[in-house]
Amino acid sequence: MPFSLRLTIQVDAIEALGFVFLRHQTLCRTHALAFATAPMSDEELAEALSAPLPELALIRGDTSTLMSEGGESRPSP
Amino acid sequence: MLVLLRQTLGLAVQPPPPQLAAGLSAHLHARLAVGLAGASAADVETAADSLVQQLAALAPPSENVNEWARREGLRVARVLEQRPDMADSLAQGSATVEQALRQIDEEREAASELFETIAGHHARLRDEVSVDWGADDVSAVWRAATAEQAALRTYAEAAAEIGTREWAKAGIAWCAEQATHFYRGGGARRLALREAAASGADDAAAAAAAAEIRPGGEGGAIRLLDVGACGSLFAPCEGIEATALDLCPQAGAAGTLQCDFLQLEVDADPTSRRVVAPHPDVRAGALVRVPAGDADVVVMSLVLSYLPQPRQRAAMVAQARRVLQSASPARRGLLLLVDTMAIDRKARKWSEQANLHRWVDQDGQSGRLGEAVAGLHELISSHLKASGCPPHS
Repeated sequence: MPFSLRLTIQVDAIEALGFVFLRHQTLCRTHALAFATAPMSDEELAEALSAPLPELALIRGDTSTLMSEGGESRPSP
Repeated sequence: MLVLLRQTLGLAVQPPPPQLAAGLSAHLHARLAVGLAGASAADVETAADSLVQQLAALAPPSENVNEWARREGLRVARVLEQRPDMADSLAQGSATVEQALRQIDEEREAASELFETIAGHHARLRDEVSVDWGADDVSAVWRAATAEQAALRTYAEAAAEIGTREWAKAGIAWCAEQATHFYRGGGARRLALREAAASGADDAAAAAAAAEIRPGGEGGAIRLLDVGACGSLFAPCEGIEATALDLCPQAGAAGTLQCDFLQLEVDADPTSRRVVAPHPDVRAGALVRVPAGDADVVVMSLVLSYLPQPRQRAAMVAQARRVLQSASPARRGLLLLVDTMAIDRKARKWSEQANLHRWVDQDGQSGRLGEAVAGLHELISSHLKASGCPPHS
């Protein structure tokens, strides 16, 4: 599975838990993701978190594409 | 004549130092000179000459001198490129190649023990927490798996050692930078404008909304919760008020609160207060309850990969969302995740070598060339296995 697809799957899973994706960055030996909270009322959040938890698989893949883009990337919309 | 004179004088006859092949000598000289380039105030050429001579003299009699010197010389050169302190010592003559090799071996052994501790603990968690997250008894299973304090302490010491590595610190620095950028560098404003554009609202309203977004700490400080902290890593960061949490805080991490983040109670009432209970082994105590919106930022650095179950990782993220919740439009929280990523060099089979597959496929020659690369990969793997090296080393 291509790295960008794995990243998109992980981002989608986290966004389903009430976050908005900001950026992904490849760092030395690690990678990092930033999310902001999606604006939600307490009731909306409770409803979002009451759904079955998504599977959050660790990303395993190729970083070369990201590095060639300056180490920063957004998954495709 | 000189030998005769020495024998006459009763001096032991020293065999001449072994000579390296000229090409190898030049190659090692060049590689070592690159490694020594970082040394301060040193004559790199002379120092590299000396290292090559030392290598030739050090080769054990039972080994082929050229093969041994090549192997060990390149090992030293690789380390020198990463270690200016060792380059300094060798360039100035305060350490010998023999001492450097011994130090490299000792450090490698320590790193290997560290790896075994971390990997062994992760494997044990995977074995013990094999139930599907979401089952009724899963919390009990997790608590039981993490109840053995001696194992946790050993792991915590190893994890703290990892936390001192430059690459681990780079992740912490990235988180501090992101938090500062979001609240003080226009990040929140850009997000609000993007969301306004998507929803069809006008820019002026979005800009006004963005201007309201601010962190909740006193004096505008960013309140950051460092989950799975190896200590007060954010303490030097200006404008960040960090709270360090760990399943098993180290004895030296005086400010770190004991907390199993998955078990942390989140009070929906934002006006409630944090509850910290005394803990027999942790001076700072155990964090039991926080109000919703207690933090502006939740950081999980090298945490999600600690958790063996995909849904358990999602549960951690959901818990972070509860902690960050605020119904106020002026509060937008941040979740920052840093983790390791397994890439192809860890692949153990050809089928896992995505990089090589891609390279082969680029030219549309995935047939014979693919087979050739697969064969080569198998050959290298079997050779490494026979020589006792793990395939990913």
